[in-house]
Amino acid sequence: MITRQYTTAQKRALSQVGNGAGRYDINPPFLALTPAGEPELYLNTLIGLSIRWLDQTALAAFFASYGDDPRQQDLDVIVWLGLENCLYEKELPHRPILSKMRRDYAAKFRGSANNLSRQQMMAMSAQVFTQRKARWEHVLGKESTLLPGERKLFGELMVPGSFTTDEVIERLRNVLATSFHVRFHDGTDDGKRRITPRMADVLSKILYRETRQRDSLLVRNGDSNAPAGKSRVLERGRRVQVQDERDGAYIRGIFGKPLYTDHEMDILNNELCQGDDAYCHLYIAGSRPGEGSESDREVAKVLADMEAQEKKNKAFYEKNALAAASGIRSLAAQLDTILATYASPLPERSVSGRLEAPLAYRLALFQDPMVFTRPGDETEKHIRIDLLLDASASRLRAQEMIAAQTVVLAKSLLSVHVPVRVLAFRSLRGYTVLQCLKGYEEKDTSGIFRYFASGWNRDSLALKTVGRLILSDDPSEEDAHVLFVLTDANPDDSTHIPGEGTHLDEEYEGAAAVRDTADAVHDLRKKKIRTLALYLGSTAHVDNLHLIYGNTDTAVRNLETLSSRVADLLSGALTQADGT
Amino acid sequence: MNETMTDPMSILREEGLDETLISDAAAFRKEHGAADADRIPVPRFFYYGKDIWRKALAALLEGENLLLAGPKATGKNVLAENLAYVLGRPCYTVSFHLNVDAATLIGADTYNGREVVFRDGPVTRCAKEGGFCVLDEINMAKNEALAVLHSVLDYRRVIDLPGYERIEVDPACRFIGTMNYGYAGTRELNEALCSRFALLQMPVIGQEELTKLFDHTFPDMNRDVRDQFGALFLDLEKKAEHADISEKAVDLRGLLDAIRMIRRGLTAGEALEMTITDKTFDSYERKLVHDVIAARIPEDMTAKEVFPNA
Repeated sequence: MITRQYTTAQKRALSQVGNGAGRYDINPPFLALTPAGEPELYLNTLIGLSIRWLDQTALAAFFASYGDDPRQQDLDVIVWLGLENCLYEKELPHRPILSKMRRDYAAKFRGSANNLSRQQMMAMSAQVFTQRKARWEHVLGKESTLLPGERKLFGELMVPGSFTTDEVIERLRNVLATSFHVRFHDGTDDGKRRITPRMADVLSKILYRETRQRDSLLVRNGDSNAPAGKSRVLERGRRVQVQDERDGAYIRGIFGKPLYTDHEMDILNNELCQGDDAYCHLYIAGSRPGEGSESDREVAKVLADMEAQEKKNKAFYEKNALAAASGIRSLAAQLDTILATYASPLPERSVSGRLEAPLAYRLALFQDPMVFTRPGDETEKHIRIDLLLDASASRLRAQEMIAAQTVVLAKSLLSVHVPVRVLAFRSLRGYTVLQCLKGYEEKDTSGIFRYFASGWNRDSLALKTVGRLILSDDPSEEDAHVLFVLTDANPDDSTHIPGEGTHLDEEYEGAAAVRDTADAVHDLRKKKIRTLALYLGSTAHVDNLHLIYGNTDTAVRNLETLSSRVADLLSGALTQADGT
Repeated sequence: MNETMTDPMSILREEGLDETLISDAAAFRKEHGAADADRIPVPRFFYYGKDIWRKALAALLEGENLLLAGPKATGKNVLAENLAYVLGRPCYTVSFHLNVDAATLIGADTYNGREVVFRDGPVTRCAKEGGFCVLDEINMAKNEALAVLHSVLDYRRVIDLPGYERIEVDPACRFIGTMNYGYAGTRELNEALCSRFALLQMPVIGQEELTKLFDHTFPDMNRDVRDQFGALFLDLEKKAEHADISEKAVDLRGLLDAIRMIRRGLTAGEALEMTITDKTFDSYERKLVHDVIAARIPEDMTAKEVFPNA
């Protein structure tokens, strides 16, 4: 089960929203944090009050209706200004402290607005900033000087507390349409698409915006899933086509249904497709291919190629069956020795060692010296291994070899009762697809023969995703995790890395891609996932290998050398990590 | 202090109890008299809840022992004290813990300077005096230690001490157990013990009861502020129920203490910090509790706002 992960500050913000809402089984569409990352009490209480007083389904549909507007952050600010007054008036009789909280927030805003630099001022929408300033000055008892148009907007945003949800939405929709010329995507404006109540209900669960009071902007952060076919708006207002419906159908046609529910995939996409991978999309599928569609010849061709490759992989393995069997025997024997050495000994009582306080009384009372423990002979071992296979087009010439080597590895590990999972990754049409060829619990390794190479490889995103899946499967972090990456150490993807500030986007290749992948490996190791590289094929990118994986890599040329190389790597990783 | 605690029966009338039950309670008082008047408690707080009063009185008057089960701050001990007061019985409280054993409850041999004699434990003394014995947090003790109570609690109503005389339990004597599921260190009561009690599930205190409690305890408190303190308690309770915070901060006694300290000159922030927030020792949890308070009670609120007519 994949669940959304919150930072400590986000959890506290969530708790504040719950205080306002009067319930805690909620997944609010917004969270408010200060520029320093601290939760903003007044705004979070308001978000909670919106849950208490207004119809969330209708509100979520309204937020979604302008979700693809490049000015969405500014529009959010305007909408929340309108909601603020309405919710304040509704709740004040029940919560008198709200007036003090409101004044405190207004004073804080005044302080931060006075300290803005020229650059910060220039980065803001003047129209929105004027409204914010006027509202909070008004709260502090001072009226701002406004132009007639601004004065009119100011008045319209003072939405009365007596309004119902529909009236609030109607008022704010008019404000956005007349003052900001917003075109809504719910069928009321251009008739393109209507958001149904059911869809809005789903949206209210998954739509997630984190508001940060940064300068004058409410910034959409960790943003979620726009509905299918919708463009996503990134932090600086760029529009990026991420989830074109045809691409989605293409991926589904080839790889079948995702292994996780839509909601779980949404969580993973929100969490992992961030920063350098912000333009990407994730898809996690099983080993069985999709059913394609008769109308899509491209998909049908890929499916036919996959089937042909599966036959080739099996034929190659059968042809080298003797070498494979020998490899499995040899590797299994070595693994058994390594694991026996690694396994942690269970403690046993003894006359010396670590004092067991609850037994200490026996020493004085019965002169029993067996009140200590020391490492005993009996052992316990829990190791899980993941094999991540690069399945990009650069592996086209080595597909059969990679499939065979992976089967040997998986069978060897199975024979010593170590759970092993096999995942292949490649990037197609902006999607980084992870294909699970064998799960931890499966005894059958035949799914590995469905390995086929195509497309690009965004190693960093694949590594981040595998790390996330490993930790989701073992939340207690009790097991030792080892990740073998079968790679050519040449990350390369057609989807760009978003540029910072005024910089242009960057290609995902060369030094940038290597840096990104090295960071991902570093993060995995920080999370105690022992990440090791098996290098297959030509030596053109050996430098990359060292840059990404340090010295924990090894080259494998053929099935005969596989066992000794893997054994060396695993032994090194386990003993090094344990300091033995 | 509750000023209405002078006439026990007026409490029951105020709660709207049936007159028959009230006269039965009065008859019980008259029939059994008071053996040890000093031990009859005068409760600091009154228990509010008509249904619970009805059930508890009916059970006790029928000779049942009561087991009050419920989460923190549901008034289990307050009700036990109130029952002893209303029925005019001396009260003996035994706080249970892991190492409670038969000797703690029944008594043990002791040396009086000349000979070995038996010194009564609270259960024995209560049985002789015809009091109400409150077995507080009964499920903190091991079930085996409680086996000694079986003959006291069931139809036999005797304490049979080997080597000593057999003690008959006074007809007025009742045992009232309290328990809270889910506390650290608590355990499931075994069937043998449970079957010797009538079980009363204590409901969580509601807005109406809180208002009554505040009105009785602080009659001069500003009504709006009173409502916010009541809402604060319910907010904390809801948060604990959702496991966002532990039950440590759901402390009704603490909340009442805070109001007293505000009257004494502390600001609301200072008083609530001492009596509510700082009772949780985890720094992150403290912040969550602080947020709940900050969304209800201004930190700088003083006695002038809470007690404007004082």
